[in-house]
Parts: sequence; C-alpha cells; structure tokens
Amino acid sequence: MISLKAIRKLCSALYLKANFCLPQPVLKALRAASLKESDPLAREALETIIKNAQLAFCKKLPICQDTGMAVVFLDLGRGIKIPLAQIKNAVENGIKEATLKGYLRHSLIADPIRRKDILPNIPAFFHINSYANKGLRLTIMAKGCGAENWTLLTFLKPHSAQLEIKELVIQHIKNVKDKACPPYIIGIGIGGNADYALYLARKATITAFSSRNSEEKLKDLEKKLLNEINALSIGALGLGGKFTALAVKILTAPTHIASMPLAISLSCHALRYAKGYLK
Amino acid sequence: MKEKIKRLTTPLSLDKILKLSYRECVALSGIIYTARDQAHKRLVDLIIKNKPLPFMLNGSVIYYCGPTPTPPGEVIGSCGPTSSYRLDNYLEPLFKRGLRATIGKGERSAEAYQLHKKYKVIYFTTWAGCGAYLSQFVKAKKLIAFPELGPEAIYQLEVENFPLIVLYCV
Repeated sequence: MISLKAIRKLCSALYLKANFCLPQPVLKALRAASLKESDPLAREALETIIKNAQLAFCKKLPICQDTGMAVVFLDLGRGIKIPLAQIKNAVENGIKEATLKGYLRHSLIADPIRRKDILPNIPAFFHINSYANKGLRLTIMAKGCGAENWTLLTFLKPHSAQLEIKELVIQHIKNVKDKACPPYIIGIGIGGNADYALYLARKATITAFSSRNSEEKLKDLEKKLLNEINALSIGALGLGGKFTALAVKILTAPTHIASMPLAISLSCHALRYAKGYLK
Repeated sequence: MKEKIKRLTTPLSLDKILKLSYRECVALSGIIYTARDQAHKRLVDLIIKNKPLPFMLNGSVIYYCGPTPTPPGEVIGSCGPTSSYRLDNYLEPLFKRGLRATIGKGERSAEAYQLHKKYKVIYFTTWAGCGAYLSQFVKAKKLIAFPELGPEAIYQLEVENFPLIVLYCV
C-alpha cells in the first residue's frame, strides 16, 4: 500500500538526484563527444562539463546553479486509491524538502509580473498519465530556464514537407546560437494540439537517449537534423567545434486535418532528471 | 586550463586588458561582484536617482550569477554564469561609472557589443553550466546589497585563478 510519506521521500530523493547526478546516458554522450572533438578550447569545455558532473556528485553540490523548475511526469498505475490532490501535494512536499535539505536555489517567484515572493521550487509542473503496471512511476526533471526561455511553438501549414521542418529547426538553433548552453539535447514535438506538441517536445528531451525512434522516417530526420545542426559549429558552450547538439529526438501524435503544430524544447548540456517508482 | 593562461588581478585597469584577444584564456584573482536581472535594475535606478551605490564601479568586474545557497563547510554553492543578453539594457549607466569587465555567457545584442567597444569594457565568459566546478575558485563570499532578492542579491566574491575566456576584447 503506497503511503503519502513514501511518495514525499521518493520525490525528495529524486529531486536531489536530478540536481546532483547527471544521468549516465548524458555523461556517456559527453564523453564520446570530448574524445571526438578536435578544437582544443571546445574539447576543454566538454572535459570541464564532465569534471563538473563528477564534482557535483562527490560534493553534493548542484550541477548548475539554476536548480530549475520541477517538471514532474507522473504515471498512475493500477491500485492507486489516494486522491490525486494528495499525491501531488506529497510530491511537492518532497521537492520542497529537497530544496531545503540540498541547499538548492529557490528559483521560483509567486508573482510573474511584479517578480515578488520567492518560492522553494514549488508548485511543480505536472504531466499526469496512466500506465499499465501496479503503483506509480515518476520522472522528475530539473529544468533550467536558460534553455526553457528558448522553447518554440509554431504552426506549419498542414502539408509541410520534412524539408520545411528541418529548415525551421535549424533556423531556430541559429537564432538561439550559444545562449542556452550547448551542446543541446533537442526535443521536437509534431502533431497534437498546441500544448500537447510542447509536452511531446519536453518529453522528447528526457527520452532522447533512452529509446530509439520506432519510425524509420523519423530516425532519418533526427540524424539529418543532428548532422546539420552540428555543421553550424556553434559548439560546446559556443566555443566552436563539432558538438552544438548531442541528440535530436522527435515525438509525434495525431493532429487536426487543418493543423501541424511543431514545438521545440531545448535542454542545455545539463539535462537533469531522475526516475523512480512505488509499488 | 590547458590553453596558455594570462593571470590578472583586480581592480582591472584599461592597460591590463588592452592586449587580451578573442578566445584568450585568463585566470582572474581578486574581487568580483555578482549581479543579475533584479540587481541590475536596482543599480541603474540608484544611478539615475544619484544615490550611493553598494560598491565602487570604477575598475570593477560584474559576474552575472545567482549562486545556490552555501552548504555547511563550503564558501559558496554552485555558481555558474547566467545568460548575458538579459542584462544588455542595463549596461550604459554602469559603463559610464567605470565598470571594466562583465562575465556571463552567450551571444549579446549588437548594442551591447557596441557599448562594450565604446567604453572599452571587456566581456568574458567562463565554463557555463559548471557551477560546482567554478565554486572551487571562490575563496570568500560576502553579501553586500539587496538580501531580500535571495539568489539575485549582490555578493562580493574573492576569487583565485577564476577561469575566463575573452569574448569581446577592447
């Protein structure tokens, strides 16, 4: 039987883990990039990013001072009898506890217009779904806003070709240049409606390394995009070189016959998330 | 840093920074001041109203940074740079008062570039997104203004061999 206390404890641990431990797939991609990079300054940037991750883990210091907004992907499975409001409350209490215990920065303000009233990183921003197994499953993402500020949503004409998709994404990266801390992990959502496309794009960033795209056409587009974005030579931390992006992932969903929403979510090189579950 | 490094100490006079070139690596020691969005707004307000500033701008270095709270036993938390372009509208009044260097990350506006050139202010970057790594180069930290802003307060940092890379030379 899942308790609210167990949910709170798990979420506290996950938010701390997200901020102190760079996920293995991201580290692996950074290591591979640092071995292939020939520009000395860009290579030093990649090596420093890796050193930073190691130091953050050892000293329990945040990987980045922007300890992020908490984005929570919550999947509710079979047998959950606790009201959702209480589950969400327990998740947020866990995030608040992690913020205080882990000396994370309070990066939220209650009033977005007057910019007042600092908050301990709650409210969290939830995406709630169901899943087939028993219990619940969580991914908590610490999303820094240096990169979040470069999220894009646009509506292409319904019969837009892949070429137009490619041009749009590449132009966006040209506009962002180095302002969101490359090398980027680029999530693209195509289809759905406005907010669903944005959700897909965000989800694509945290699944960029974990699951291959099942659609051949999308795999091909992802590869082309990654190559052409890296050919821009913006490079690690904008210092040039081969690695403007580490990965591009596209997720799609059914959409309206008159619509083709396209969303781009950028993660900086500090792609931070942690997963857990309770049965 | 593996590249050949020039060592500099604050305060930064013009002659110390004149010969630095694009992508040159520098190890900075001395005093720098953290200030980001809210602090810049307040500093410029104080200048406009001709009120005293919390620190002397002439020859100083501003680091666009809002660090995480300091854990027990540490001098500072994670302290990497924030995006510079957001501070571009606050530059001229600070430059007129003698600010000599800005440290941040990322491309800035054309106006910001022109202002840095006009007032001979150098723009550095450092290892962005590497706040834990950079905390090692901070030897002391002192709150000097706007505590109610939390991470956006102005802190005086004493740094030793803080790694910098020149983006706009003078």
